[in-house]
Amino acid sequence: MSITQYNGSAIVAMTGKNCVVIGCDKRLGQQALTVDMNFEKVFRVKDKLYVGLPGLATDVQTLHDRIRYRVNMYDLEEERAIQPDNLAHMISNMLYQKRFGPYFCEPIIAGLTEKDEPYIMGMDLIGCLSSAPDFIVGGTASDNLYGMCEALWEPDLGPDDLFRSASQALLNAVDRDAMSGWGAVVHVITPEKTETYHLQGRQD
Amino acid sequence: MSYNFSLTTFLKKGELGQIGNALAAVRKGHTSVGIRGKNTVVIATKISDESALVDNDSLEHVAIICDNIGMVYSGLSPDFRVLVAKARKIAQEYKLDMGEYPPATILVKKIASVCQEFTQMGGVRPFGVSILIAGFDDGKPSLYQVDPSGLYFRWKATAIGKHYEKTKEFLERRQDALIPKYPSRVVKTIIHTEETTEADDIGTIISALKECSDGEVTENSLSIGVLNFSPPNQNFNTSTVPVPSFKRLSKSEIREHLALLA
Repeated sequence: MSITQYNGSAIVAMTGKNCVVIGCDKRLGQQALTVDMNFEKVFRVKDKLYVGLPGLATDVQTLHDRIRYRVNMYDLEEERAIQPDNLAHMISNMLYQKRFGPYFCEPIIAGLTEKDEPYIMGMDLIGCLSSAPDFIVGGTASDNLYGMCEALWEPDLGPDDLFRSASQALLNAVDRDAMSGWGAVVHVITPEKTETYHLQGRQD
Repeated sequence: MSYNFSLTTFLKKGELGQIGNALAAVRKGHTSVGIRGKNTVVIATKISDESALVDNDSLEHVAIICDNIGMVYSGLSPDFRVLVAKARKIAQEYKLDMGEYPPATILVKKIASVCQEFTQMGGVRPFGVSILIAGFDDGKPSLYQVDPSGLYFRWKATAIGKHYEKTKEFLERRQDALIPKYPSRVVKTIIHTEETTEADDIGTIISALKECSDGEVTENSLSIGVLNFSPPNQNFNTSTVPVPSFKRLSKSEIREHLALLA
């Protein structure tokens, strides 16, 4: 077993027409033993910018703390909102600095740019960026998520339809993965507002 | 027993003597001028012609820091070289971290804090230069001045170095009543610097240096840098939107601007 699969996780980000969604499961485990059913892995960076951190839970927390530190410093120094591409570069560098003793985490960034264009970006645990026009998935359920997203994603979905596709992809992917699940959280990011939905999933 | 190695210490009257001396070095340096336009910033300097034997081409007066930032100085040229090297490093490190070059404000703050450190650190003296930095903030042009003390300002137009007061007065007069060269415009309209074109600003700068600095103004004695948006798909720019670019004017380009004024 890889250390990235020790706690279990599932994260998906999808682009729509002037909107993005990012969601995660809520399980925290120690291999097959479930420890917590309310462990969220997607974090708000700004109102229209979220980061998902699938992987080893200790590194998820440390990375979240370090990202928050860097973004708070950015806010103070630059007096402007950090843009998704800048955040992606920042996190990518943060990971590569630990190239030979990495954080076991593969971050996913989702947000809207200054011009309210959807932006999603994924990276591996040493910060190699990978972009996609449609969706990015991560975590122990990533294979299942690929399958679900391939089937459900369509171009130019509105916020409601996009929410439905991402939620269905997430819930059905974690049902076939023993390491993730136990409900989900989905953030729907639109130019006007960001809405957060807590989804009830199978509790077994 | 502890020692104080700082060379910049307070005088009884509450001033830092070394800063005053550094500013005196700046005032002895050749005149530099900067103007912020609507979508451009023009910075320039009048190279002193101490000897006709000097090959002015070997001197870098207007320095390119990164794609979207340039700077010019008045004062000691070796000190400027050090600051240019530091500024370039700051810009590249920022790009490595954030994936884009810094906005002018950020670079200015960092350069200013380098200047400040050199007023407090042990064993060093302050930089003998004031610099003008041309850059963009939030897509809008800005012109900054950084002094040896680490003090920085943002200007619409300013001058530093020899005869800076006279040159600034000239710019103030121009700011209020710059008459456009184009006949289509109403001559009576008062044009503020924000609304002038790049060519207007270059013209104003050359006139200011002609009027206020010592010696003859030719393409050999002028160094001019222009910050603007280069149109997409030009100069190896593969982007579909205009991107900021800082360029030094060639001798032939300066000659053309001089001819316009003659």
